[in-house]
Amino acid sequence: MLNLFINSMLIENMVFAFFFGMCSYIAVSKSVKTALGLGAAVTFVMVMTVPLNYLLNQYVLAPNALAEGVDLGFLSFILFIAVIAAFVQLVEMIVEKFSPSLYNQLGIFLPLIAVNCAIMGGSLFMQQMVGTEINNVGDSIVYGLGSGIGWWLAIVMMAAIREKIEYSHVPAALKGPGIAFIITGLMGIAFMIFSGIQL
Amino acid sequence: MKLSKNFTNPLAANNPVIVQILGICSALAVTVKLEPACVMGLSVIFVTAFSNLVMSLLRNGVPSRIRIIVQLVVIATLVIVVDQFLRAYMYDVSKQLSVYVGLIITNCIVMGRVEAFALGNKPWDAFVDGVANGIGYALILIIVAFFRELFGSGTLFGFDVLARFGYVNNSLMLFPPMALIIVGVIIWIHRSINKDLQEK
Amino acid sequence: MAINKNSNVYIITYTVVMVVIVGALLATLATWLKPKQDANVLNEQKVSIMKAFGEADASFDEVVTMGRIVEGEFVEVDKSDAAAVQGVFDLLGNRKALGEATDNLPIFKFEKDGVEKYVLPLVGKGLWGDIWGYVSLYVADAKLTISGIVMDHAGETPGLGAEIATPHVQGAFAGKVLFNEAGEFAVRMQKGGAQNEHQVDAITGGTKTCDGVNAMLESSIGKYESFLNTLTEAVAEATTAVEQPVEENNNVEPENKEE
Repeated sequence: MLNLFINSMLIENMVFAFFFGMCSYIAVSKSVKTALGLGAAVTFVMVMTVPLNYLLNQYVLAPNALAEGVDLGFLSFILFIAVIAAFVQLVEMIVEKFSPSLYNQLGIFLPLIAVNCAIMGGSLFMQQMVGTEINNVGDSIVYGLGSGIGWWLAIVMMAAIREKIEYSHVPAALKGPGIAFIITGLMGIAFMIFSGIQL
Repeated sequence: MKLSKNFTNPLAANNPVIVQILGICSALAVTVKLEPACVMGLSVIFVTAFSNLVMSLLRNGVPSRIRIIVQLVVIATLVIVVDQFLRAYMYDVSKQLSVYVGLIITNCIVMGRVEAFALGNKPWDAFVDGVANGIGYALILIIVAFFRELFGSGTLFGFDVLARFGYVNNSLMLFPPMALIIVGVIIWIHRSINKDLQEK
Repeated sequence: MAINKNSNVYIITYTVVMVVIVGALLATLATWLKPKQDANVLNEQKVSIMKAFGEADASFDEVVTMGRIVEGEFVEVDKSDAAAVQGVFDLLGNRKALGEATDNLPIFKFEKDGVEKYVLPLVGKGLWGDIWGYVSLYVADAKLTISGIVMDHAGETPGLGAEIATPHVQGAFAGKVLFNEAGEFAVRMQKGGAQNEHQVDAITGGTKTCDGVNAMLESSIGKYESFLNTLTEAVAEATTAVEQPVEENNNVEPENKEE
């Protein structure tokens, strides 16, 4: 389980290994503060939706799960995204009602999360790993947490670097997204040192 | 005139990937080889085009409160159609694409075009806009895949190109970070030509 | 035409209609394409098995005998029995069940020029995820020898561990002898290069994957050990007893049962 956690957080990092959540990653990584907020929101949604989708996968979508001979596997995309969208909506409503201050900090990011590939990707990878790395709800929570924190880590590090880079002489055409991509690539190479860790 | 401008604009000057930085998420991982990149590109063209078309047809009937959900359902349905067809008729490629087909759903280009264009325009315009944005996206994928396959495996579409000249494959090109660096360089070149896009 | 598009009734009706349409559409499509998809999966398994035999062009349905190893003995699966055949392929497709199975193990037999070859499925774990494949074995000079192997992986590192799926790595396994003089399982991917008739060069930078391959070979082939032993003895006896092994190979089956 620790292996799964480390693996999903550092080695198979959502950003560096799979490019998931790149859109908001590039767009929101201009300041550390907002990056922290978005990262927290993504991690939270991921910890909740991956296990939810795991249960859905086990008890509804898997072959013969609902009834003998019924294979609803083809519906998984639509159900996963529905769960994610509904969950994000729910969180938004709850947070708005009970903690307006948190809503003001987090609120603007929540709609962005529904279409964050990292979340959907987490659920789809979870579905592929069922039966091998992930065998129960606990595993799926750990996987969601690890992937979420990995994404969080990546965006905060990126934001920190971009705050510094403001003071550097980057070629005009490379400013903004161009240099962000190249930095991400270099960070990805750095993260490759984690590969091969076995706990 | 307007239509052709709608069509050519997303290809270069306002390319969804390298200018608007949308939709990179799901797809760079399929750029190790040209073939899956092309199939992925075609799938995205199909999905953007038809989700734009359908949403444009529905635009007057959709209740605004559940707009996002309706969009997601339409997009997800189209993606499932693509996925099912790939599994039935292009099994090998569908294995290589694995979960990335499903991630077209969360591809920001698709959602972005539906939200920004299809809901306010006529079906035909929306369709053309979808095709053009899909092509703009596919172009980037194919450029990246071209370099990665050529230098990473010495082949193009699986045919030996460099290997016969004694080229030693550079495995680094096959690793994910190189895709990001190539996109970074494409943006660099693109912005050197289109100076108005440069950030101050 | 004064419909209030934001009324709850409208929204609910809209949702229900949408769900019904989408559901019907997708269900039809999935049912229509399902046979084709299943056929693809089945065909891939058959092609992999033929590749392991080294007979990629031959037709699985025509030349291969399917069987299961029950308590160390070969029991043929009747290929006209669709349910039994499907049972074998379902097991091959379910890597978890296949890895845990200890009896009633699937096996494939193919005979060419008097030499019997057997293909066994392999399942194991690489560095990142599952690795699997098929290995084909035959008896040469009274020793169990690999004639061919195919392997695939879920997500090994491209250029390093993922090389196990390439022909040049797989080709190196051909002709390797399974057991050493002491009767121990000896085939392995050896770091630093192959040193004897059992070993294959490991992949530089792909050590963990190669370890996985070694473990996979040992555990997957090990499950067939009692069958393989009787097979080796039977073939050895047949060759020494009569000097025409080519024709006598047919006797392998009945002799198995004496054991």
